[in-house]
Amino acid sequence: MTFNEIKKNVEPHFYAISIDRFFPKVLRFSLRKLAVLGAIFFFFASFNSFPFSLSFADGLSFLCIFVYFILAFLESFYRSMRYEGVYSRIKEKALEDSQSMDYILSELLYKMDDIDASRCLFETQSGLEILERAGIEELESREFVYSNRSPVIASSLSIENGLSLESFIESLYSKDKSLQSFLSARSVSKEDFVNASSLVNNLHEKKRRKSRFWSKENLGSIPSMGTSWAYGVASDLGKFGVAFERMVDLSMVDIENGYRSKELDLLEGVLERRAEANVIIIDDDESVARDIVARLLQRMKLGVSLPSIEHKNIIELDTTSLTASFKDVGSLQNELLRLLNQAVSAGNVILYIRDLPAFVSSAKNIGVNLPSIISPFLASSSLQIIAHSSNNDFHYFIETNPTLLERFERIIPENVEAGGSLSPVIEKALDLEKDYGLKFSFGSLKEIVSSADRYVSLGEMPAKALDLLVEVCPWLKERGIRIVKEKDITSFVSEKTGISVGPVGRDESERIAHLEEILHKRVVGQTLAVSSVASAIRRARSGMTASNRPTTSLLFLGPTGVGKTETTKALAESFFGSEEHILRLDMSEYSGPDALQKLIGSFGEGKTGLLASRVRDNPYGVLLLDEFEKASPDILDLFLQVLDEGVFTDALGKKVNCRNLVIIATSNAGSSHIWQAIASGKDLEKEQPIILDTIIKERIFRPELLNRFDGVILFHPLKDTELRMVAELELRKLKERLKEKEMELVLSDELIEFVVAKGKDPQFGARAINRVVKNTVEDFVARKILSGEVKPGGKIEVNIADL
Amino acid sequence: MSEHYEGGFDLANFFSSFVVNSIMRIVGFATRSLVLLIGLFAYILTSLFFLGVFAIWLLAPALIMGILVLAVTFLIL
Repeated sequence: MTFNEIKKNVEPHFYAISIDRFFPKVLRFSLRKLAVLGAIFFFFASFNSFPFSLSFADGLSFLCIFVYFILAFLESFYRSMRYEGVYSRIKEKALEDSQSMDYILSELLYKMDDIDASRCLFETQSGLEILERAGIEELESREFVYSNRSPVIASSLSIENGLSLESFIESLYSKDKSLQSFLSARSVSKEDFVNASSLVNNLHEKKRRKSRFWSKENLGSIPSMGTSWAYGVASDLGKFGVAFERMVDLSMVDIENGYRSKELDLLEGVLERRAEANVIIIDDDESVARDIVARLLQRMKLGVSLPSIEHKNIIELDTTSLTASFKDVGSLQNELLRLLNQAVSAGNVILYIRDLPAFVSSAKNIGVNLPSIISPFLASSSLQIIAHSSNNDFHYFIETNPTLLERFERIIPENVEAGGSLSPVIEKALDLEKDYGLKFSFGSLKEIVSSADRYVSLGEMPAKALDLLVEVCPWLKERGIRIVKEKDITSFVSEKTGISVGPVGRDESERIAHLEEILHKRVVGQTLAVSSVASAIRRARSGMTASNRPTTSLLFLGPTGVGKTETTKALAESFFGSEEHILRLDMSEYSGPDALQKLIGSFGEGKTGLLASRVRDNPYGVLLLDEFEKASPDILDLFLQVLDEGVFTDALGKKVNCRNLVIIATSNAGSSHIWQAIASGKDLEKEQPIILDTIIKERIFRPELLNRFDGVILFHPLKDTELRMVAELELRKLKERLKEKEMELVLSDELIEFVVAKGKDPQFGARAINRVVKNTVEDFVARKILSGEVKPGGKIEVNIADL
Repeated sequence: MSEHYEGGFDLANFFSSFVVNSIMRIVGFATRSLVLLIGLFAYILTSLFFLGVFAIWLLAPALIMGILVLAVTFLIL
């Protein structure tokens, strides 16, 4: 559709917009009122002389009626123009042959400058709203529109399918290069921009639909009088029944976004049955079941549910107070029967029971056999029950109970992935916005969903995302943020979790760029290893790695005492801020047959495992698996999965998320080959495949396990010069420690040489040097301090001969 | 709201629930009839109103002109 055709099509809206522009709604409304009042006033004023006299007042009264009629007809015209192309859920003759048209699109077109098409975005209220939803403040937009840019002509625009705002925005974006660069400088992609416009459009169209009060769908949602008369006695089940409507907030529930529609259709289908129309919703999160029932209620209220359940009441049975109020079998049984009989004789009750298994078991504790009591009611045609149960409890309590099981139809809500969570998040965000005076950009909402999916390890989607949304609101308000952008969400998530999320800040980018230098401050030598670690981290931080795997996983191979563990510590310090973020597991402790049980727990004893609980407590950090080759084969198989999927399932059946961990396994497998390679002067990098081959041949690690690591890094034995550096580093550390006690250790080349000479042990590398520093130098210093030879402020000179 | 007669030969109980239930039904009948009548009345009224509006709608051009002529004549006279 070319630009001229578009303009022709939306002409009806132009009339409405013109009327609104030159003759605002408020003015029209008050003039109409005034005219009515005037007509009445002058009509009565004319009675002053005697009734129906031909007087001046009568003339004025007729004039007022005339004005009123003109205004009323103008309003009718305005309305029929304004509601052209509006969507209606229920078919209407008046709307049948008009194609759908978005009102905002017409508003933009109305204002459009022929030689500068994008300007209308910045000069209309709805245009600015779209920009805000894309995450751009009004000030920025104003700066852009008056800046030096190359505008596009309106006639170059075209729309592919239908008169939708989205396709118009898409076309505007692809034509206007300066708009593109303006948006991408603020990290708004085309998709985000179009989605932002779609969000605004939906809001406006919903309002437009709602203001058309005479439409069939709006009239249909008005509750009719006396519908309950068609049923038996009116009943609210007394103090143990709560109207479901009072328990949930339906104001923002959108039944048209397709969220949970599959489950809803199923639920309605079951409830429509003549008998045994009972449903049990099985999900670990009760809010999922509650949400589905709330959506059903909303459908019923809007008059779009199946006719047979349209006028029913959903009542929640307050099972906790019910079981708490009656302590003996007889009275609880009596009350239960009374309630259920009441519900049956009412005939229009849908009973909602949360956590049915808990109700069954607490009734059992009192001595009431609940299944046999409610079974006949479940079979009846005049009572419907929607119950909820968690997965485990369902198998444990309901499945083992045939009387209950056969009466209920099971609904297992589908797992909502990150993509499907966006619509409930939008629903809730629009609701929360009003309370906190915020405006969420589309990008920020998307970020909430993806952050919750990736960084919140407890719970399921979309509940995780909704929780994050609720948490972020007060935080944003505290900081005076009005328009919420992606980076606000990422900084909240970083603050909450302690891991760096989102765009890399200047501080961090500096740190990451110089990661090698930072690591080298603690790690001596190992240039190759350090640079491969640094590049793996850079890859992970840039977001290029797959999100369904651990942040990064590395296997460090090399002899003992060459810096494998030290590199890990340095990495934790530079990437996560402190060494405390290391979860260290010594795999030599997990070599026995009970190793797997120790790590993932045991079902029989109901114990959670060490790995499962520690990763749950501390989901962001470095998981250090020391002496990986010593782990039992079961454990290696477990890590096969962890490295590949980033999750494992513990013995209790709960998923543990390892996707925010840097997993580092160290091993001295193959160190003899590394020794040989170095001794014969070969290049370690070139020898790597051969060394890995021998490790596989020796059956230390299986090839598939080695392949799952993002990198296998070889550490070479330390050379003499490096040992010297280690000695110096260790002595300096000692010097620092003494400095805190206001004593000065004098370091001499002689001392360093001594330490190197004494601690040089190819078997143990730097560890031997450490031992010498501890056993000789520190020992010497300690004796001096204890004997009182050195006092605070004094100098300690180490004489080699004394050692 | 209703009373339950448990059966058996208990005249007092039988009559008490008979009377209570009869009164309930009579009152129910009266209220329901009243509401139905009001509804019917409202329905007729709305229909008449609709007819009036529809007539005005059809005659609108003539009506507006007529009213304007009336207004002017009254003002001049």
